[in-house]
Amino acid sequence: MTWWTVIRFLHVVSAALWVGGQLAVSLVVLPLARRLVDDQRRAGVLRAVGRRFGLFTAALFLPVQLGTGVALAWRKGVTWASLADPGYGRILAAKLLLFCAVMAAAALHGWASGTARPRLARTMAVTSLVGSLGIVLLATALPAT
Amino acid sequence: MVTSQIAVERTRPGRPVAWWRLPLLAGAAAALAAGIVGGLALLVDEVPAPASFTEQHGPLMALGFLGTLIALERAVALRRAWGYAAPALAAAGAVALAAGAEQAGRLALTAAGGWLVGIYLALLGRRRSRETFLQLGAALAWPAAGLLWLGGRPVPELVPWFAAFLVATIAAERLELAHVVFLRRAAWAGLLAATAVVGAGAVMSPASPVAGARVAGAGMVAVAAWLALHDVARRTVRGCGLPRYAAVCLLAGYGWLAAAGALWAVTGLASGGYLYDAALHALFLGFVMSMVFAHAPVILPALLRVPLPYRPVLYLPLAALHVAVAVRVAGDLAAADVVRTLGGVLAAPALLMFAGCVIALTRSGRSREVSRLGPVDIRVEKGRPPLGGPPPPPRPRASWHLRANAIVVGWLGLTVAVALAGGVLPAPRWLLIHVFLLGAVSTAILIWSEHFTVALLRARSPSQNGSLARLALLNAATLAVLAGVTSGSWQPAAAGAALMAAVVLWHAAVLVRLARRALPGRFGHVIGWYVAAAAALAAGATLGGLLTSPLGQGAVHERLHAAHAEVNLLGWVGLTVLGTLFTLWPTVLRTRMSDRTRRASRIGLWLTAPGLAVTVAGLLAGWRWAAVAGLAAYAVGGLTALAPLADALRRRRPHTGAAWMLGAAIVWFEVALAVDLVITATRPAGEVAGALSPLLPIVLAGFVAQVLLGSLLHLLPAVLGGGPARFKENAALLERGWAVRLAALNLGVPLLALPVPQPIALLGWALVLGSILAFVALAVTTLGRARHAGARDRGTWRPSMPAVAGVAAGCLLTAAAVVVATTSGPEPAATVTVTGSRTVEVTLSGMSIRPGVIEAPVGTVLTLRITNADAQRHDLRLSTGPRTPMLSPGSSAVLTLDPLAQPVDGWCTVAGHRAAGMTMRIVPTRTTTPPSPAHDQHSTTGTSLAGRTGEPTRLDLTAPMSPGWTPYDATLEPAPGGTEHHIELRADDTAVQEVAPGVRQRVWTFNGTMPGPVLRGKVGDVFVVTFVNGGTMGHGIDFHAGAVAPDGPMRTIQPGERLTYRFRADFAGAWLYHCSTMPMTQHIANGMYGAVIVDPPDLPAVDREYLLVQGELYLAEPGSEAQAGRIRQGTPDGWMFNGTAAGYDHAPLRAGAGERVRIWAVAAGPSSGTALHVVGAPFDTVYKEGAYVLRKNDPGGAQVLDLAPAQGGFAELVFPEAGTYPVIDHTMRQAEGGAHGLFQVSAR
Repeated sequence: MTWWTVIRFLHVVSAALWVGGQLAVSLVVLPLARRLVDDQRRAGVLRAVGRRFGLFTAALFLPVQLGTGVALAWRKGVTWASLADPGYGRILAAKLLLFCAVMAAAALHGWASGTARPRLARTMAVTSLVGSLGIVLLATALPAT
Repeated sequence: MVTSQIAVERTRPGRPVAWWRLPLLAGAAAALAAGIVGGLALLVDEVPAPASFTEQHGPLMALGFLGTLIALERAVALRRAWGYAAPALAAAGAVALAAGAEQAGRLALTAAGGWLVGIYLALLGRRRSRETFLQLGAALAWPAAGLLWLGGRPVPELVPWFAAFLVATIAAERLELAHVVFLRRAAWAGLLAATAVVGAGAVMSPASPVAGARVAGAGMVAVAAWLALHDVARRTVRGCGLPRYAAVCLLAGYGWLAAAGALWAVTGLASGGYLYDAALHALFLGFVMSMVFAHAPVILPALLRVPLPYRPVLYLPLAALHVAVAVRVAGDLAAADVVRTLGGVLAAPALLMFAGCVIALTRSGRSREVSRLGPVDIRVEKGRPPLGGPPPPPRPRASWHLRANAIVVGWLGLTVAVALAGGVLPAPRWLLIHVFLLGAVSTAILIWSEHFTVALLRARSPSQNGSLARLALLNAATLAVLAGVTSGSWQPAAAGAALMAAVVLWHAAVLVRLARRALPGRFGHVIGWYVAAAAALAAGATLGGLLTSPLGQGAVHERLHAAHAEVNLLGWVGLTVLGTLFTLWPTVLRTRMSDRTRRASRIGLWLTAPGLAVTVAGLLAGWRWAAVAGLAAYAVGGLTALAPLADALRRRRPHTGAAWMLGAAIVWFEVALAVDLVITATRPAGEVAGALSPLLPIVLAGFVAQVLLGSLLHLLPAVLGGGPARFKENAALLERGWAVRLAALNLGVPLLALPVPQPIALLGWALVLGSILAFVALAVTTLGRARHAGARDRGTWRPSMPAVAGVAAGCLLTAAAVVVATTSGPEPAATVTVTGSRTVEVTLSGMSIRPGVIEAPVGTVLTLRITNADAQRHDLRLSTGPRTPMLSPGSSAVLTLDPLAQPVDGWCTVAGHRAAGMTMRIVPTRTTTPPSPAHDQHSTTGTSLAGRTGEPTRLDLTAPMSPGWTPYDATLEPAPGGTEHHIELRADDTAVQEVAPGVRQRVWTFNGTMPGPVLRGKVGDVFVVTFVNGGTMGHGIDFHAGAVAPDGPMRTIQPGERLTYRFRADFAGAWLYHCSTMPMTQHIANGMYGAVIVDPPDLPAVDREYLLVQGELYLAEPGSEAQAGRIRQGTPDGWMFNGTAAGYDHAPLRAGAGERVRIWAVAAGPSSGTALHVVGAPFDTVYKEGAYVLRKNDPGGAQVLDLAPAQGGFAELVFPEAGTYPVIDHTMRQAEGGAHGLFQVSAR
């Protein structure tokens, strides 16, 4: 139990919250909302859910993730050059790229929801969800620290 | 009891939840948890658990958990405060027991049992009923067990009492429910008698455990039979909802009770180990836990007054429990520890799952209570109430077709992918054929032949569940076959083939039943074609399964292959297509059916089906002309069937894409049939399969694919439905550019079939695949549109496309990231410098590739000259990509590899051959020094040895034995009668024997086997041996058992000569005989030895006698200089029992637990003896070199029978219990070198 444990804990927990939150919204909230709530109110509810989740992402998830991630990489001795090395470096690089892509998809989702493009919004939401599962996959593939 | 209690509870709705009873239940739960952990720890050593959990596993479960539950339930029924002392005592006792306070636990649990008896007495005083009387009797068993326990009896002796308590209690409770069905007095007496027998067994058990258990077991069988006969479950199982669930639990439980009773009665519960475990857990897990599962939804509400609504999810833990018990009991009966453990471990999640379901459902029940539904309503609830809006309408049949055909389209897409992937896959050609035919075509036939049968007969659709099940099973079977063959394991492939045959027979049965039930109509004749086609696939799948398995190898392989191809293509595909065309063709042409159709159909079927059967028989048996005659009959039948189609053609020219495609397909079918006929007529059956292979593109692409595309083109719009406008829209979309696609496909087919240069063949592939791919794309678009349109029509816009697109985009992103993560940059291996070159001869024969291992320094450019020396076709494919074409027997090919950098695997891609051992490996050695000039260009001939290129390789004793290998029978027959034995021994130095797994080598033998035949007699018997030299060099013979001057009988005789060797066995013992010609090291090392057994006087009879003759193994051509040197040095490559290293690992010797087994042993040497040892079973008798070293009644035992070279003797032992016991030479170097075998000991 060192401070590094705490940082790693924060990194993992915040990732779990984000991926788990998306999963919960997609698999639990949305189907129930579709069945239980009528159309007008549903739009309102879903917008509120989306806004709250977006807020959480921007205000909490991204800062924590970036901060702890950079700290962990620094401790691990990752340099820009080492990102190209096969093994740890390359997996980390792929994970970061995928993370950027997922963030882009999430941002696109927010924009599409705001400008009444429901199909694009949904596509991007699912892309972001599946992509974040991919990030988890790559994270588990990182050689143990 | 339960019903009455429920009635009581129901009459008082709104009573508060009885939380104060919860601690008592918590005690039961604690006992359950501790019991489960203890049980797991008993099974798996790694599970940490306090000793009290494991030691008290039985009492914790039977008394702690179940006893507390029963006592609590009774106390609730009594409705007196003092009654709760019983469950409280039981729960406290259980907790104390788990905590390690054993004596306190025993006392409390025993007291709880006594208290329960008191409760029953009070209940009886209130109302006399036979159930309560029976339950009182049952409850008496609890304190009885407790008293015995307090008296120091071990837990296993309490088991009959636990059983009596639980079985009788449960039976009494079921009796109460059976009141509903007006039980007769005789029936009641029957149950009383049956439970009395169980009780009698328990009473007998302290004095005579085995007899008691047997009696109790018989009683259990009777109770199970009574319950199965009289229980209401037999009726309620046909109901729905909770009653049905409970009934399923009950009936399954009765099954286990009967099984447990049988096990108790047969084993007497005393044999320990596996059978004890099976008998116990069939009863306590299988029966009792099923009862708990059945009654929990009724009892729990009664105990806690919380509703427990029924949900179908409760079936999940039930199924898991029964699978677990079945696996465990099966593992026990088979003495397979892994299986038993698996079953045991599975039971824990099943119980936890049930507990989880109960807790979750209780919670959901409470929330519903808020919505003003009383607990009374729990039982009448049927499924979920609609959550707003009307329920969705049932899906129409079209939707089911849509989804089913999506599978076909998916397989077609996969076919294209496989074709494009080409050489990357392990068996590309086989995979392409089977993904297409098994995946796309067979699924389509299954769907459409059923559809047409229903449509043509105007029959009622068979149950959709059945159709779905067949479709799912067929696809599962296909996946099993594909996975099995590509991964090189024949078992899943053969299982898949068997499943496929079963599915298609089921399909045929459904069709026949539909036809029987339908009114006679104009189209009934078509069904005959479908049924015949299904029979053909059943035969074809069976042949395919044989092809992949070791059974179908050797010369028969080619004939099987030919028959497999003919029956599947001409039968399954051909007959289905012909049958369908009678109606499809006129429909596609939009004209009426010819009047000649029915007659033509009947004649055609009568010619084609028997013709095909004759063809297959002819090909299998190798009768060329029978095959040709059958094929000719098939062709004539096919032409007859096509005659009415020609009529239709005359009336109306084809004008749609579908019609042209079908027409072209028929033309290709006729072309293929004609060529097939010529090939079959001009080749022997063994070469037909090879000659037919160029024909495959015509059949697959020209005929089958085109028929499939043409039919789908016509049928898909009709199936998708949606009104005339949408029909037209869909048809137009699907037919887009059909002329170009048709032309491309039919231009491509001959390019694939004819021997054209490579670029033109590639063009052919591009044309064919492009055409198919274009159709797949159009079909997917149409299907997607129809789905949307359907969703729009139902008024519920289901935004599934965005979701699909999102999933696809996410997966693509992830895949790209994974590629980035895993691909390493510039390959360091690519910079390997060439250090030399070498040519290696590789031989394919007898299901092996020789040499099995090639070692070469890094950077060597290897050239492999591959020769197929077998009677069937093989090829060689290397994991780095290069592969030979399919080589017919006798032909060769050359592969040149890139400079060697990493290990390379090679294998034969013919289905099943990789699994049968046709693999090789090229291993780079790390010596980067350039090889010596002599080594350069060194050529290794694959002789009779596997895996020898210069350096000796280690034997792989775990490798599979070659197909067809039979072990040397180690069973020692008793001495024949008579006192004079005449034997002929023939020296044979040309025999080849499998001396180690997968390694066949020439050996020198007496009578063709190493070791030679066994001679056995009694002291004083005379042996007259005629020794014949049938070999190629001088040989002699020397019997240690006889006393003669060596000069004459032991002299060396030349090939073709013979001598008579007469000796009297004056001395008992296990004697060696061997070749007496110098150098004897070589003659003995290469196999010229055997045993003479002369029984000691008064040798007692035993249950089994085995003989192991141990010898050394030198891998090399016998008599070669290299071998002679190593024999002189005494550095064998392995050691053998009876001529095969580790042979009895692959064919274990059999024995039964408790049987007396005598193992004779002779050490043949030439240089090493043996220290024979059986792991897990000491010897109680040892006889060595003419004298008993140890006798049965001596107090001591022996661990090893030690024999110097040429000594002999025997050891006797009794296997204590079922299991697998290695028999080894405890000179461990020799054991690990192959002097190792197994005794498979079954339970008695």
